[in-house]
Amino acid sequence: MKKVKKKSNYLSLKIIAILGVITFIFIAQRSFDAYVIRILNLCGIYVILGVSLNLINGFTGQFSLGHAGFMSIGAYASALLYMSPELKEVNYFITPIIWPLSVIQIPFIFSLIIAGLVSAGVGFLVGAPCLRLKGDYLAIVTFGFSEIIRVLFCNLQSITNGPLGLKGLPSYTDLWWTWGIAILTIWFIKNLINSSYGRALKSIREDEVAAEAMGVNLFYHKVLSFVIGAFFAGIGGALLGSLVMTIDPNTFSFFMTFQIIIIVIVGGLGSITGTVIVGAAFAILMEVLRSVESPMSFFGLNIPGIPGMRMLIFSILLMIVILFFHQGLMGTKECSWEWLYHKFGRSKKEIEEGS
Amino acid sequence: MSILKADYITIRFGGLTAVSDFYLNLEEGELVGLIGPNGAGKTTVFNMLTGVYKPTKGEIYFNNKEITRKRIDKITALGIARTFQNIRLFTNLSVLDNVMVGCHLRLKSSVLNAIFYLPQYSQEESYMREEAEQLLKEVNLENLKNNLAGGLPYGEQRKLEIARALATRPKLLLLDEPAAGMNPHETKDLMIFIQRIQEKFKLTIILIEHDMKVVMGICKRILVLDYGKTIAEGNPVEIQHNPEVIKAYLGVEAHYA
Repeated sequence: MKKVKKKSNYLSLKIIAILGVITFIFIAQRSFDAYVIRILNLCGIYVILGVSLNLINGFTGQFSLGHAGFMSIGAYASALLYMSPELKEVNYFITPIIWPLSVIQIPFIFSLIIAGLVSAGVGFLVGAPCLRLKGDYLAIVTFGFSEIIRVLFCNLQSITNGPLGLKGLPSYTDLWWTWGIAILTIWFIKNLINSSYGRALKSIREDEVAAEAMGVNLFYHKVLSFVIGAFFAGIGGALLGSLVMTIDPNTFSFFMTFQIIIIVIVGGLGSITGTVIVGAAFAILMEVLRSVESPMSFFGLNIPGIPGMRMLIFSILLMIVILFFHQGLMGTKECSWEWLYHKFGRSKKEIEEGS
Repeated sequence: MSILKADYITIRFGGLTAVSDFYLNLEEGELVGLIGPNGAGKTTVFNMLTGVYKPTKGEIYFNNKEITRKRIDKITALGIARTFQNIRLFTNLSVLDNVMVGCHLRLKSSVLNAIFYLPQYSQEESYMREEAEQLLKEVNLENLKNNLAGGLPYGEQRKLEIARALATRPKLLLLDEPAAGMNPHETKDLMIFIQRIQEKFKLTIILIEHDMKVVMGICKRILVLDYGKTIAEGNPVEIQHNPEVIKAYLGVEAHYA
């Protein structure tokens, strides 16, 4: 009886949270200025990318450096589908685009889903042979994959428009999309890792030999995690493409993977909560720290603006986290509804007792 | 009825023959001990039976089906489970989760079914939880089920590893030095425990052990390996008086000295 009551309480907590988010998006979308909305959008996208990479790196323990490659595939796949034929003609002025792509135009939502599926398909093709490798070797191979995609997209002019990239993409990405999909991603991956499949994934991270001896099909589960991670990375890439409204193969360089790796490691390998917090903080810090790249003067000492100073600060932060918080900010801990409820319930009780 | 038959299996690593012509015909319900000096190839035999190593020569039959070249997890699914010499628990998972991983191989629901928590999956999940809790009760760990496995004392970790192996519902259980590092009192408990689970779960057990009190105490039949060769086989009394065995354990015969 007590249990039922508790459950309904979590439900009400969830409803409150969802309503809160919806109200917030509604207000933000109407009254915040474009700059703030853009940062909030980036928060959502980094959360999608961070959580999906955490599934592969943190929960399954397969160190992948291929996220930028999947994002690139997703961004191009969706852009080629939602761009209007006229826009394509303008963009592809050197080498015309090949036939079926030149006339196709589908709604944004379908292009997102297809972007995810294409990315997941490539994830399977890459993962199936590569996931036999472990540790550093897997990292090198997935990094290589990401570079191959970049070079390939630079040279497939009749499909990707090569290094010229795609410009003037319609801006579909808004807070409804980014935050909505971010919440969906968190929900999906949280349910996955709390299920029996999730336990199997974590057992692979803990001890591959023992997991296999307990009947866990290593190949199936590793590829499963890789494909799901790639699916959401593809969608994240697609959202990012429509947000910045221009993509070229070099947008998705190793630099991009590195940013997401920072988010996952600082947040804690194996903690969705940590990834969400750090993902959002990262997007905000990236903007706030722009000030360190502008010319400054300290006590009469003039420092010229140095582009890239932000990344120096992030690198130092990463080193501090690795040295002093070995497991990232959250380790493998999660902030659950239950925890929130107890926190909430206890503070309410304390207030009652106090009054 | 023969449950396991290792038909003269041999494995070579480069020039080294780790195990040569190992023959074992195991009847259902037996408790067989596998002993021998360090490096004799005992764990290698386990690794071949569970599919970790593929024998260079010879076949292995389980329930009259050949399993020589099957994948490790498929062999586990057929009903061979094992524990490890150096405990290999999932240290950062809870005690209960460790056992539930052992139940995962029987899960029928698809991934999407599990993610959306559909009725079929939620039912299977509660069955798995029930079974895992039952097994933990069996090894007296039910009070520690929410603790991290890595934080358990050594003896409890050994027991948890056995519970996890039992969660795969094996017919044949391979125990690799279960008494290693235990004090005499714990060892005595372990002997009773092994006999109890054998009876309760109708298991056939192969046991690698250095503690002769355990082997002589509970095994009806003992195989002795030395340098990869089976040098003796028989009941505990026969083994204790076998000159080959004494030679393997105590070195060259006295008259050379």
